[in-house]
Amino acid sequence: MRQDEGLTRSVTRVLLVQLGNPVGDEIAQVVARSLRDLGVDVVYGGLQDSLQDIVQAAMQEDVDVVGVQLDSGNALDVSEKIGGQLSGIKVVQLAPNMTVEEAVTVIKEAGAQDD
Amino acid sequence: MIKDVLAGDVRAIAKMISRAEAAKPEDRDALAEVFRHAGKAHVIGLTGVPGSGKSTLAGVLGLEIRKSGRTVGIVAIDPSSPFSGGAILGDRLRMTGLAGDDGVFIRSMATRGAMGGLARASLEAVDVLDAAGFDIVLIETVGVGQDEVDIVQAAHTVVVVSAPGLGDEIQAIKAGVLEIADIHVVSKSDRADAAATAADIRGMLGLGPTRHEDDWQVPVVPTSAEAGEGIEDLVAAMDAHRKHLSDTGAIEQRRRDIIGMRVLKTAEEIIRKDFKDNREQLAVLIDRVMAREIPPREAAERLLESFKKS
Repeated sequence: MRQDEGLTRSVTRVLLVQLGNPVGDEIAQVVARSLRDLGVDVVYGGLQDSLQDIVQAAMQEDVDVVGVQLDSGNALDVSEKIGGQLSGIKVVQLAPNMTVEEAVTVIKEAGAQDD
Repeated sequence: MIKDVLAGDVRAIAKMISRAEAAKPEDRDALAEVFRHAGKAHVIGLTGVPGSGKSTLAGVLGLEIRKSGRTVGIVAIDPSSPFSGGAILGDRLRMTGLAGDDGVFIRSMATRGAMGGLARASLEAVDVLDAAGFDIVLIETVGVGQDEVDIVQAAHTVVVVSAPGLGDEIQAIKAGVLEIADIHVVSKSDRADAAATAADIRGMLGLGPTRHEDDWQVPVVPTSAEAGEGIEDLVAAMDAHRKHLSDTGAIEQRRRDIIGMRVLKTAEEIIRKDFKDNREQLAVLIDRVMAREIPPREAAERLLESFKKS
């Protein structure tokens, strides 16, 4: 028998979305590029209308981590709201005052965790 | 798991596509079972140079197809970074208005080094969506450069998208994508120069070679996602092409072509993987070629021999 384990190494998949009305998506774009440069497949979903849309996208894309960028007026706990519907998928919230480095770290750490 | 895929369960479909991407030996049986259940969907390839508006078109097409009550799966492919192996998959961003509808399934894929505008597992992802019962599966390729036209042997109907003002006509000739189209779309048709682009394409269609020996008249459909124009016509053209393939029996040849390409591509992939895993042997052969003891072709033949024995 041929050995062909690990034909493709598993790449971490991240869904990056925005909810509410974050001030521009420049930060999210830089976060996306930084993650890509770390070897991550980043599904860049942009502005979503509802939490349910985020759940649907995360399910279809079968990501490991969902990063949700919120606007400053949003005090929502996204993880609490939708985490239950997404077993095996980590949901992290990217606060509007987070730097790119902080956001990347939060996502990387979530991706590194086992359940 | 298979049952859930066939029943259209979103998580099960998504996981199965991930298994196709990971290509682990333990998932082979499951994927073989998926393949046995596929073969019913109308598979449509959308291709064109970067910036021609493929993603946006895929989105509005999805909406239009849904109006007819049919379901649609979309496989959207973006390139991986050759440096990090990561990718930004941004097609979903442009497919607005499809969220919240269970009759639409969008999956983004990275090429991971595969050439030709598709990812290695693209057609397995199509199988999964097909087996799950989606009536139409759209494959949106990477923006093709020159000579990257695998989609022609991956879809039943190939739609080539050109935008006005990009100089696409010339690009299209160079890339060989002009001949592969079953349907031409001129996107952004609300722009003033769109009519000239459409006329150029119509003009060129009369010239070069074509794969349509069977009297299919390749339509040129102007569309504007912005104004919502031409989308209905495009769906009508896709349906007409599917009917034409059935009526003339050409669908069987298309299916053979697709299967043929998949077998060859998979063989290539197995061989490439094997060679990568046997770097020591490769290194020895490279040394001998470096010393000009043997030419590259002989080294290649020796690699293949040892592959056959293993």
